[in-house]
Amino acid sequence: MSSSFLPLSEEMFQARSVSVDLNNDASLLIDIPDALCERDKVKFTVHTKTTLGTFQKPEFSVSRQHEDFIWLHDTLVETEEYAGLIIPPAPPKPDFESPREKMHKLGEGEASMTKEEYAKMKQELEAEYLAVFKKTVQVHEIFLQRLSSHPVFSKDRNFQIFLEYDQDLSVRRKNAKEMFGGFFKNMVKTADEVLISGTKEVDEFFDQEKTFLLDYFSKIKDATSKAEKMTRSHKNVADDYIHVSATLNSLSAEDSTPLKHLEKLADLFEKLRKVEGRVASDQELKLTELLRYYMRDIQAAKDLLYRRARALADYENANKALDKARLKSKDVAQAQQHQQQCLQKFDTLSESGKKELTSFKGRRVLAFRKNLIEMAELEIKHAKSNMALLQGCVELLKSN
Amino acid sequence: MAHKAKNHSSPSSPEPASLQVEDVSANSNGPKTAEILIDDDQDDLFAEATEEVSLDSPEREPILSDGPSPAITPVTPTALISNRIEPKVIGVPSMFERSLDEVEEEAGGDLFDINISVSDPEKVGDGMNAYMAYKVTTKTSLTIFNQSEFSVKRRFSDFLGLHSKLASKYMHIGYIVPPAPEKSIVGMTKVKVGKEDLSSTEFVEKRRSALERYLMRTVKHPTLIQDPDVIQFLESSELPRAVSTQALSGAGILRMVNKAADAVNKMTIKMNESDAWFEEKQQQFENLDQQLRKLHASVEALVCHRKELSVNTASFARSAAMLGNSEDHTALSRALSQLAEVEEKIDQLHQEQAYADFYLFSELLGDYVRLITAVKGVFDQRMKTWSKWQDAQVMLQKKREAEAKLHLANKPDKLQQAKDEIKEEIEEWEGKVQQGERDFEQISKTIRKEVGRFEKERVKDFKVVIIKYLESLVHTQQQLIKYWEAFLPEAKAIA
Repeated sequence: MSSSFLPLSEEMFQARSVSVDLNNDASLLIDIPDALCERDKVKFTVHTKTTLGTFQKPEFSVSRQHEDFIWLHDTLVETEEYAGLIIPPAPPKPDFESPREKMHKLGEGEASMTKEEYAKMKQELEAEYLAVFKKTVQVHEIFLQRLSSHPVFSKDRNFQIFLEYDQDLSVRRKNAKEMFGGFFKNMVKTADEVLISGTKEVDEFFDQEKTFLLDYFSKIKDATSKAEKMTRSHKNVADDYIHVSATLNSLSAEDSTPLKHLEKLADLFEKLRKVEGRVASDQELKLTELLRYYMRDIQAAKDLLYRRARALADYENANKALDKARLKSKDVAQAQQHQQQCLQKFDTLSESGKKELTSFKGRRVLAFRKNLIEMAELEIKHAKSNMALLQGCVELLKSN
Repeated sequence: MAHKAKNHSSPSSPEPASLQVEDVSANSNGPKTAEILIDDDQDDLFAEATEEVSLDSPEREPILSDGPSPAITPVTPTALISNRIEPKVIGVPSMFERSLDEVEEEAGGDLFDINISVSDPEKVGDGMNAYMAYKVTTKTSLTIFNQSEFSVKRRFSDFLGLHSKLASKYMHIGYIVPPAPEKSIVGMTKVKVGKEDLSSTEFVEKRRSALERYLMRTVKHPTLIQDPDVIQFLESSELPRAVSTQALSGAGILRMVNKAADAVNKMTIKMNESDAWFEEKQQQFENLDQQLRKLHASVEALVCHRKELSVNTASFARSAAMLGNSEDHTALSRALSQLAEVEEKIDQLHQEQAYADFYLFSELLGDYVRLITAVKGVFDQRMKTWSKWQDAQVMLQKKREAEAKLHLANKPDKLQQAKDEIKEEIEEWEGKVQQGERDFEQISKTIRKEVGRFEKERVKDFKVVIIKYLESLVHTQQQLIKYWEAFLPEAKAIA
């Protein structure tokens, strides 16, 4: 896809918010009003409106790439102070692979189609590109809005730099990599589930959360992949309608006998496929995206549990070290101090973790509610359109 | 052979014979005239037929019945295969023409009131010798039948046998004989072996539906419905086993037709088409064939994807149910379970829709693709008829030239004998030329009529089926609205 500026329509604003309760605080409002797609790179325009004195201007925009978002996420993960918070999941990399592959296949099959058929398929694919594009903008925006609406993250220094710094962030990114080396991040990736499920849990709240999150994560991961498959099948059916419509058109054009109703039928299928296409994409946005997002969010919650489990392990180790020191009567004070630090860290983590997990559940329930309602309403709307189209055609055919 | 002793036919098939007699008294059409025209060449005729057919590589189906061994039922009136016999009576086609009009009159009055249903597939026997028996029920007010409602049991090879008889009688004189459904060794083997799974049930249903459509198309044809073989097929409780069906399957016949077509083409016939109508029509049918095949392929893809959608929806429903179970927020958990239920119902909907996609839309297109092959075959038969006429003319010319040579020769004693001989031959070929011309005119006339009828039927057929199909789509949407409207309050109840 060549460079193209895509002003995001009203529709898109409504299509957003897999998450809820965002961008409510007028002191810091963030959105991504448009984006530029240059070959493989997407450049997001991040627009900020703020009443906070910590920023230089009340309103400003910067251009950011996906890698900048990842840098921001990683710095948050690496920040010790945030260990007791659920770090909003990083937005996934913009993935145009699927429509690109389809476009390629379409090019190969061009000879076997009529001009109109090819044009329609191309149109359909361009819509798919656009949908992927909209999705990626949405998910990047939500990431920023999660941060801006959080009492702690909104004050993060790097977050401010991300929003304000009017130059390219790539230099900073390189430095950060050298500094942290992705240490903590890598740690989190390895064997977190084993550690979480391994440690004995005294606190009932965390015990329940642990059981719940581990199970829920695997279920939601499965549901996400099944929803993806379902949506893809839906798209295939919509695409088939294009071919049927095109062939019916050729048939009615060539046929001299009074098969005029073939033309109407072709027209009908063309309209039907547009509706079916919308059904598929709405289902994707409201259901599949919802599941996908919360799958990542639950992973972030799991990461919190992991960090807490590590802190507990550290505390237990410190205890053992203290006992050893007492036995040997060597460096007792030092060991004691270390033990106290670990305990404090663990307690802080537990306290803030509890808060975070509780509000997380509330957020999740609200988001599901909102999206399920919207999906049901859209399904009804589309089914009614389909019905009107079909009944109109049946009337027409019967009356002839 | 004892073909003239038809009325006291072989002990193994008493019914057909008596039926034959009844037919003759019931109406004054075809069969009676057939009786008059049967002649001794009949045996040769049939021998010819079986020979020709066996050149194809047939799919062997085990022949099991204790039935009569003659390759083809002895009941078939043969006179209609006029150009294969040297007819002693001219004008069979025109007599036939009269009967056609008569039936059409009756048909117009009765609105061709006949309905056939094929139902109750029943497995008979065990193992590889087993077969499916179908109940064929006819409801009609037409007087060519003895009753207004009656049923018989038939097996697949009976249908093929009927088609082969009709094809051999009518195709070469220009009638478009609806093709029989295809054989399927794989499908049938599964059924025989007793696999009670979904695919064999679907196979039997697909076949049952195809057989029903086949019979309806056949009886809608004003000429074919009068054919004693058709009447016997529908009415007679016992049918002589069609023994050579392995060679005479629908595919076999079509192959025969196509081979004839190829042969015709190879003969490099440059037919002087004096009639633009034929050229136009052939081109039209060629285009129609291409487009229908393409559409058929698209609809088959649609069926496939719709089935996939159904499977994936069911899979998602199960996953959503599991998610609902895992969810610890009560209201959300309930809503997710409800979502799972909705999706399960929707998966059923998709499956039903896929059936409609297939049985209404896809099969219609498949039937017409095969029908058009039959139409093209009939056009080729016309070319063959034309070429036969031309050949006769060439022969006649040769004989005349030979005669002229004789007249110029100078061998008095041998001459007279030769002259007589040549004169006889010339007369013979003159007759053949005249017959050839008549045949060509007749087949051209028949084809025009048949094509006209075919096009009318096609329009009607498509319209009826398409409306039904669209109504199935409407129904699906209505159900979707119902399900989602029931779910909406559940989603809103999440608190």
